[in-house]
Formats: sequence, structure tokens, C-alpha cells
Amino acid sequence: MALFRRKKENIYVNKNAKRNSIHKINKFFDIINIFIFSVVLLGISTSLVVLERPTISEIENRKLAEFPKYNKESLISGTYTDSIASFFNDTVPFRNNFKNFAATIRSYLGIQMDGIKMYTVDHKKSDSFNPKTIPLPQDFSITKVTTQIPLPPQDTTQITTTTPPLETAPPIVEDPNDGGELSNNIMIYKNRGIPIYYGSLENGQVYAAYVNAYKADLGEAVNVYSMVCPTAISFYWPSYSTISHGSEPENLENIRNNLNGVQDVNVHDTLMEHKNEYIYSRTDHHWQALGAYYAAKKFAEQCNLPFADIRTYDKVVIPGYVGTLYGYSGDADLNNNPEDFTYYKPKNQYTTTYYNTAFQNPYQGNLLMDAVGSALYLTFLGGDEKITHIQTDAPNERTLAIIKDSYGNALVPFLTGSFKNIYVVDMRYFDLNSINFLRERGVTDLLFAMNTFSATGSNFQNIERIRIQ
Amino acid sequence: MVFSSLFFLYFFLPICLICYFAFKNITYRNIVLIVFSLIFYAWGEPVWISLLIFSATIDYVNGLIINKFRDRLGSKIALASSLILNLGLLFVFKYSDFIINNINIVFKTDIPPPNFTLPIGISFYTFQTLSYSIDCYWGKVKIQKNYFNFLMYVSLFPQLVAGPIVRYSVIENEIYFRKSDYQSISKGITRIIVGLSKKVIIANNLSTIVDTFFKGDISELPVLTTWYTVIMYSMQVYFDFSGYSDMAIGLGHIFGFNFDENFKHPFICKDVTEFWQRWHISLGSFFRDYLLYLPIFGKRIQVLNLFLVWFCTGLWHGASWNYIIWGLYFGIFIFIESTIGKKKMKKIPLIIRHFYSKIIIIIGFGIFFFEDFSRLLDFFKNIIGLNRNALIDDALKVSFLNNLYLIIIAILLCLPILDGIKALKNKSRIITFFGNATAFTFKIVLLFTSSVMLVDATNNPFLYFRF
Repeated sequence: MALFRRKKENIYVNKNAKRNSIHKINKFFDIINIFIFSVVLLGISTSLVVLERPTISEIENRKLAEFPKYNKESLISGTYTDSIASFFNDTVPFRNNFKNFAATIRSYLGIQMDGIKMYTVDHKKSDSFNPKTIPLPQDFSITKVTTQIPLPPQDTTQITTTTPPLETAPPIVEDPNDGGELSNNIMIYKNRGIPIYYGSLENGQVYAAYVNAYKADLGEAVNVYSMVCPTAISFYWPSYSTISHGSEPENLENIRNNLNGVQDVNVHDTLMEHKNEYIYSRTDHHWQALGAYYAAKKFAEQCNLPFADIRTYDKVVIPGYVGTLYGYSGDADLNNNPEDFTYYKPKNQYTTTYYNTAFQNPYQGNLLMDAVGSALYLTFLGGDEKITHIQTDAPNERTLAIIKDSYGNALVPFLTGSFKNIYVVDMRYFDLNSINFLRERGVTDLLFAMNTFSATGSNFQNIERIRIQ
Repeated sequence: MVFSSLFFLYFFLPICLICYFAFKNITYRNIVLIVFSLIFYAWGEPVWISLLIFSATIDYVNGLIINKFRDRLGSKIALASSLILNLGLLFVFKYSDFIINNINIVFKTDIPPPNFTLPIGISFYTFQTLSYSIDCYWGKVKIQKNYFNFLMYVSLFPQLVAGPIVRYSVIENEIYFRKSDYQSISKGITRIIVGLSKKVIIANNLSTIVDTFFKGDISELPVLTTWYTVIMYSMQVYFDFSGYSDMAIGLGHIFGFNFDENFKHPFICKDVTEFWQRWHISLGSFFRDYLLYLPIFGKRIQVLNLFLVWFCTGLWHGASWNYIIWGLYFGIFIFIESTIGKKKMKKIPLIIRHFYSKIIIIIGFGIFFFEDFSRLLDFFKNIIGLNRNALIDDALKVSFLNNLYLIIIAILLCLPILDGIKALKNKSRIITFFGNATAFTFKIVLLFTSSVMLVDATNNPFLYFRF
């Protein structure tokens, strides 16, 4: 009995000892937990306050949030304090490294099916990514031009449009792409970003109606061309995929059938012949200069104008290019597989003059600029928010106007040998009446050049806006 | 300000903790909490802080009146004024547009809606202050005579803007006596990291899946893709909201408060009634305690009370018909289950009960998601194949495989696996040591991963902020 009692006491003592030691281990880790996380919290907090904060993000092509300026109104409305938090969250030191690391983490969330990945882009966010204009380098000399080009009349309200606003055009379908030049959804297939096209046939018909109105206004004296450029989806979409998307060739055919007096420049078929060449960027939503070259060649041939072979240009290759699609998708594979950005410098003589969107404040500059980072596409004309005039040594008196989105920018260097004067207008950033402008500039040829997303999404509405404004 | 932001985690919180632990005296600590709570609330919406203080002041004063005129007319008037003013605030700021828009539709009038912006957290703090007044009236809690103590309860930033709805009775004693010992602080840290990870790593990534398929036109979405997306959405809401609650409870632990749990693995429920005993527990118990058993329709027709509760539950979530339908939808199934009775329900094979409850709950989240009726109709057509859409397409396969590990982890974390592991923790010294070491390593990795992903996330408010 005594033995039994002693055994019981021993078990009790052992249990107590075990409980005590477990308690000590738990206590040790609780204290370690508190100590380490206090150090981590204070360490990170101090670093975030002390370390230098970046002001721009090259990956996203945007200026990061700035520390807000204080005023009473913004304090009361809450925007001041909100902006401080935004500044703190947006300008984390080593931001790009962290973003790249986050992309790598995301790539481990699952596996790929036949090399395909899908991303949904928040367009509200991506709008702010969109690089509109390249800032001029500080050492860039601006020559003010005051006499070469006659400025438009001051009274810009004079509108000589003869065709009334197109009220009878088919109703515009809400843009499934949420505006802009690419869609909400991006597929990554074999290290290539492919914005998924959803453009509507109805919008394609409205686009054609808008372009037709220019021909009606400008009459027989002006040749009007429509070049709606297909995008990577027409060439690199995995054929077996049943992921829902729109058909660019179908809508291009639809547009072609609805043009009236306007010549269609079918670059889809031309580019298809060269699909195995490097005509589209893998990491950017734009085409490469080589794609634009084939499109420009097709256009020049249609105009019966001379066209310089690409071998006569100076070829410039910039390696390590990671374009906009990485900024939008954050896909690690795009970031880890950069590509070359190639462009071609024309050798003929030309001068380039830039104006603001009201065709004022001219200054001379380079046609091809020194862009950097993921904004290399800004090499062409340095962006969109401007009007550009190129005067060339082409042996004719033809004046071309290009009404375009950013796809049109890459065409321009290849047309410097074909037209005496080229005016480049971005339909989204133009403050004048376009018909007046085209007449005053003595335009003989008018080219609408934009990608399918712009022509059948929502950007095309600007074509009519600038015609009747 | 949101918990899941670098600004909160690495600026606001450290300063708040330093100030809090700089004092040992509970009164000073309470003052620190009031100051930081008001700064927290006022950070993005300084104007609406007046509403918060107004609501707190009303219920503080009403509490005093109820106490002074106990069992007399004065206490009834005070309670009525608390009900009218708190619900009035909610009515004006949350529901006025909804009601006026519906009046305009029904009576073809053209009354302009006032377009108030919804003050953050109004649905939570009005219910908290209301619960205090009712509890005072019922004599369940002692009157708080110190205004600042009461203001601290109402404005306490861990639970201020997105719950849980903490009753005054829960922290009544902790206002005066609470201990932030190493155990509670360590527990709090763990809980905050778990909550942050649930939100940033799981919920935010699930939300990109949901956006991919549900953001645009869903009329052509294949049947299985619709099911897949609504399942992802159900889990997104769970991880988002329970992640916030975890962070709130964790912060509470650090400051020495013990808030009640708000979620208890709701997806393991065997029927709809049980789901609501595990989901947003603080809201369910609020309606159960303050509305369900009130003899509004008389004791014999309690079924009307039940539907009133579910109507209110739906309406509480948002000023839109889909939320009301969502609430009543659950009310119907809970009514059916209560009519069948617990004993008979238990006789139904477990697998069928699980299957039935998950289907009902997941479809419920579809109703919750689509505020637009035509899209909701498309959703219903899709899930039963009435839109003649394909059964499946590559987009589903791609999305599923691209997020395979995320989905597996999310499903596993819906189950009480971690609780099971925790229960093993103190079995032996070795298990305790390695268990603690593993948990510690995981926490470091999770905090680092969440912080990196926060750098990448420009906008990630909690879903329940809008309620």
C-alpha cells in the first residue's frame, strides 16, 4: 500500500516537473517572441523613417506619392492625413526590390498549365502607371521656334466641319477593356504577356462611322486611311486555349466592311507573314519597331510612295528591357526574362518640332529620344501628350497627318522618307477642331493608326470628339 | 487607417505601443488609448469623429439617466432616445439614399438622395453603444460614470471600424483592471501576424481570382467557373473578415483586453444554423440577445421575430436589396432547420448535411456579391447551367492551377487544423520546444511575406469596412 502511494507520489512529482519545464519552455519562447518582434517592429519602423525614400518607380513608370503640402482644407477633408499614409506606403525604401520579391512569391502560389498564367489588372490603378510623356533630359536644349510654322488662328471656336455630329451612329457598347490600349486581363504564355482582347463589333462599326465622317468633311482632295493594328493576341495566343476572348481579325474585317471612301490598310495580314520575327514585345503591350516597319511599308506601298528599306537605317538595340506588362501583371517570369528593345534611326534629313496640344509653344527636338527603364517605347516622339511636326527631305509635296494612339508613334520614323510633312496628333490629347487643323496644315493624306483596343474599346470616341469640338 | 497597411504596422502601432507601455498607471494607459483611437479614426475622416463622439455621449448620458430613474419613466425615455438616436444615425448615414431611391422608384418621385458618405465603422460603434444602453436598462452592467472610460470603450481602435462588436460587459472590468503580461503580449503578437497573413497573403490573392471572373460581364461564364469563383469569394470574405478580427483580438491581448472570438471555423458547420453560430458571432449574438426574443410580434408568432432578425442582419450588411435577400435567404433555411428540429436534423447523414450547408452558404455568398439584380440573375442561371454556357473552359483550369497551392492552403486553414496542432503542443517537452521553435519561424516568415506583399499592394481595404 505504501509502495503504491509512493509510486503515485512519484508520478505526481514527475508530472509536476514536466508541467513546470513545459511552462518554462513556453515562457522562454513567449519572451523571445516579444523581444524579437519588438526589435523587428522597431527596426523596420526606424529604417522606414530614416532611409532615403524613392521618388519614382521605374517598374511602374510613375512618380511615387509625394509628401502632401499642408493646408487647412485638406486637413479637414482628411486628404492631408490620407496622403501622408499614402506617401509612407508608396515610397518604401528598396521598393523595386520588394516588388520583384512579391512577384516571385506570387509565382509560387500555384503551377502553370502549358506555360499559361492569367492576371487581372486594376485599371483604376494602371491608369496612374501609364507613362504619358517622357520628361526632357536636363541637358536637352530647346530651341524655341517662332517663325517657321504659322500658328493657328486665335479664334479656335471656328468650326468648319460639314458633317454634323454622328447622332445616327450605332449605340456605343460599354468598353469591356475599361479604356486605354490594353485590357483588364493579361495572359502570360511562355514568358510573353498577351493583353486579352474583348472589343465589340458594334464599337468597330462606330469607329468606321467616325472615320468616314472625316472623309466626308475633307472630300476627295484628301486620302483617308484606316490602319487598325492587331496586337499580340492575334499572333501568339495558344491555339488550344478556350479562354474567352474577342477576335481581332473578325473585328478588323467588320471595320473594313463599314468603311466608306476610307482606305483600309490591312496590316494584320502583313504582320501575320512576319509573325516569327520580333514584331511584338513580350513584356510590353506595344509592338516592336520591326512590326511598325512592316505596317509602315504596307501603308507607303498603298500610297504609292517611296519607302526606305530597313537596312538603310541605323539599328539600335537596348538589352534588358522589361516593359509595361510586368508593371501591370507583376509576373515574375516577365521580370526574369527581359528582352531587347530595338529601334531604327532614319538617315535622311528631317526636323522635328513639338507643340503643345493646342498647337502652341513650339520647340525643336529629337524624333527619337533617350528613354530609360520600362518606358523605352517613349523613344518614339517621347510620348503622346503633344502635337508633332516632322519636316523631311522626301521628294514630294505630300503632307501626312496621323491621328493615333501610342501604336502610331513607332510608325513615324519609317515614314520620314515618304512624306514631305508629317503631323502627328494623339486623339486623346488634342484641343483643337481636327478638321480645321487638317485643312490649315494642307494635309493631303490622313492616316488613323491605333491598335484594336483603342479602335473598338473607348479611345475611338475621341476621333469624333476632336472633329466636332 | 487600415490594419493591413505599412503605415499602421510600422508607424502608428510602434508609437502607440511605446506611449502605452511608457505608463504603468491604468488611467494614463486609458488616456493613451483614447488619444490614439481618436487619431486612428480621424486619420482619413476627421469630420465624422464628431458622430462617434456624439454617439458615445448620448449613450453615456442615457446610461446615467437610466441609472438615476431606474424602473421609472425616465429610464424608458433614456433607452428610447438611445435607440432612436443611434438607429437614426445609421438610418441617415447608411440607409437614407437607399430608402429615397426606392421611394423614387415606387412613387415615381424625384426626391434627390442626400448622398452622405458612409462614416467608417458606424454600423459597429452604434451597435456597441446601443448594447450598453440596453444592458444598463436591463441591469446587466454597471453604469460607467466616467465619460473618458466610456469614450475609451467606444473608440477603442482595435475593434472600432470593423468589429468584432464588443459588448461593454466584455471589457467592463478590464477598463480598470487588466494585465499585459508576457503571455498575453506574445499571444497578441501571434494573433496579429496570423490575421495579417490571412488578409494579405490569402484574402488579397483570392480577390484577384474573384476579380478575374466576377468583375466584368458574367453572362458567358461557364458553369464550373461560376461555382469556382463564388467558392473563392466565400473564402476571400472569410479570410478577410476573420483576419481583421484576429488582428483586433491580438491588439486587444497586447493591451490586456480579452475580446470574444468572432469566427470559429464557420465552414466546418453541419447546417446553416451552426454556420451562423460560427460566423460573425458578435453580430449574431447581438441580434439574438437584443431582438430575437423581444415580444415584438407576440410570443406565439416568434417566427416573425426570426425573419425580422434575418431581415436586419441582411440590412446591416448594406443598403441594398441583395443584402436583405441574403439575410432572409438564411432566415428561410434556419426556419426550416428549426422546424425539422435538432434531433431529426442529426439523423440526416453527416455527409448530406455538410454538402447541403456548404451549397446554401456558397450560393448565399453569390447573393452577397452581386448588388446588381441582372448580374445576380446571370449568376443564378450560370450555377444551374441555364445560360447554355460551357461547363468549363481553360480560364478556370489556368486560374485553378496558377493558384493551386494558395487554394489548398486556404481550404486547409478553413478547417481547425491549427487548433489540433496547438492541442498537441504541451504533450511533451520536445514537442513543446520544437512546436514553439517552428511556430516562431513561421511567424517571422509570415510577417516578412505579408510586409513584402503590402509594399506591392497599393489599395487593400478590408471588405467589412463598407458595412
